[in-house]
Amino acid sequence: MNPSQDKMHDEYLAGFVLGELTEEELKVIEGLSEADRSRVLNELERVSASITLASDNTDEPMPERLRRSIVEYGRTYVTEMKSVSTERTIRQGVDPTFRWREAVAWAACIAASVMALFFWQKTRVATEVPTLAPLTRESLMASASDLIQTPWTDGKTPWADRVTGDVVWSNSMQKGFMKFVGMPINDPTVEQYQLWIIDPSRDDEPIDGGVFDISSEGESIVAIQAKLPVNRPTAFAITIEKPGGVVVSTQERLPLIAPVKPPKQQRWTFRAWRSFPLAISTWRTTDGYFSGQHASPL
Amino acid sequence: MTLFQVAIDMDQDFDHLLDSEETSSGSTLRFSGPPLLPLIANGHASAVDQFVDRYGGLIWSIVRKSTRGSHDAEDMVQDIFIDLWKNAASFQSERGTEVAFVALIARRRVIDRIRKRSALPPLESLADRPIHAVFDGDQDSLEIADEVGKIRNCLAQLSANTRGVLVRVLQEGMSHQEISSAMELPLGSVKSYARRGLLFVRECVNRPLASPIQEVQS
Repeated sequence: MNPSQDKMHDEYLAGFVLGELTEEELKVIEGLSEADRSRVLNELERVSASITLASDNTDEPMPERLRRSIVEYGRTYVTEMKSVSTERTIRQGVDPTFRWREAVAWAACIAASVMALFFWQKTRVATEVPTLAPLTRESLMASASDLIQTPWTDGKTPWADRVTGDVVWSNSMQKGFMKFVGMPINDPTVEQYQLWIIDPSRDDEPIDGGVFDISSEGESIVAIQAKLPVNRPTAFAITIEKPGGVVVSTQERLPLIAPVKPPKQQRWTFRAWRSFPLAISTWRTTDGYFSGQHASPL
Repeated sequence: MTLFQVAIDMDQDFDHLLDSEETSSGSTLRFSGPPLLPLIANGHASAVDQFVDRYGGLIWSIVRKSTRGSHDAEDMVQDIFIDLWKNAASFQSERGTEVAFVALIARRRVIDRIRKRSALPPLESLADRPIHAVFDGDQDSLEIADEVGKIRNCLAQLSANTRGVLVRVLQEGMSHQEISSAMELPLGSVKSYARRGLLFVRECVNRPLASPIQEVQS
């Protein structure tokens, strides 16, 4: 590689660290060897962070309410993670009477509790703290005062055999479950299902709701694992992705979507979420009926 | 192995270590206490309060400069702290300062925001690089005051335009368009100044302080 090409690549890598790399430039540096790319990127990231720190103005106090919420969440998260680590240590101990079925059940309970900590509720009352009690779809439906329940409908690429079921979600608890009836079993080594939560009030991109598999026929219940706080979901969508899922979906295979029924007593509004090829149009009428979805390429 | 490391291994109560942290109003001195992320990674909830107090102002400052409204800023700050809790175990004090680790994670979120605001494509393949990998390598970990001093020395060697652009990008959170308007420079020039300025500073920090290098004027 010649020096001028090296210089160009270094400039592209600097562009990445500065956050203004174009798609064409990205393709160029993706072609570089991992070793060459990483070495330069690591140095540039460190330098950019240090330049940020060298600013004279790095101590603006955050709002007290925000600080309290962050501390509360952090304490809970750290405590929960320590509990999971302790349980894992106990289960790994040598005990001939240890029952593996019991261990799996405990692991599921603890994992569900810890996963709940990844849900962040901006409007949550400051004194609320997630509990360790395992949550089921039924208990969520019974306890959530702001429960959203919406059925699955055909997405852009539906299956020939209709899949039914629904999504239940609580904004205040930041928890939810998906129910599927008749969903095709997937081979996780080939492809996996991924949930996306459309929340235009939060971001232009949908929120990753987690990757999951369907391993049996009939009815399946899957817990939602939102990677970011959900404010006001307008729809839940299922895509089919490579194993492990993706950060950004191409939405080539989108078999299911569950639009959220708007609250009643709303005036007429029209919203189209631009990021999805399937334009999610919500009509809010005075009687609260959702008029359906309008599918059109954008 | 320091007493601090031994104490972590024995899972002792670290409140006495936290209480002994110096408090200072200096711009970098307040970051130079014993690292808190190892305590957090080991499940010491009491370290969370001190961590938020130590770095909350820094993170809020970084985020506020790059967001349009406080609503976005609060979301981003929350996301950054979640990233920090999740990556606490990745931090290694012998590889770099804790404040640099914090600033790096904060900057990654800011970059995400900048790219979305500019409707640029997401950097899926590069954004997944592990945090700890940034601090792997041969360079020694400097004290934060030394690190900042070296950076300021390197920035001072830049031309006025290059330094102005780079500082506005990385310290003020301005977009290239905003910088182009503020400094009355063509947009393409702003992009070049920022990239070449960053590369210059990178080369500068890797050289001994006694041998300044000449910025190549574009």
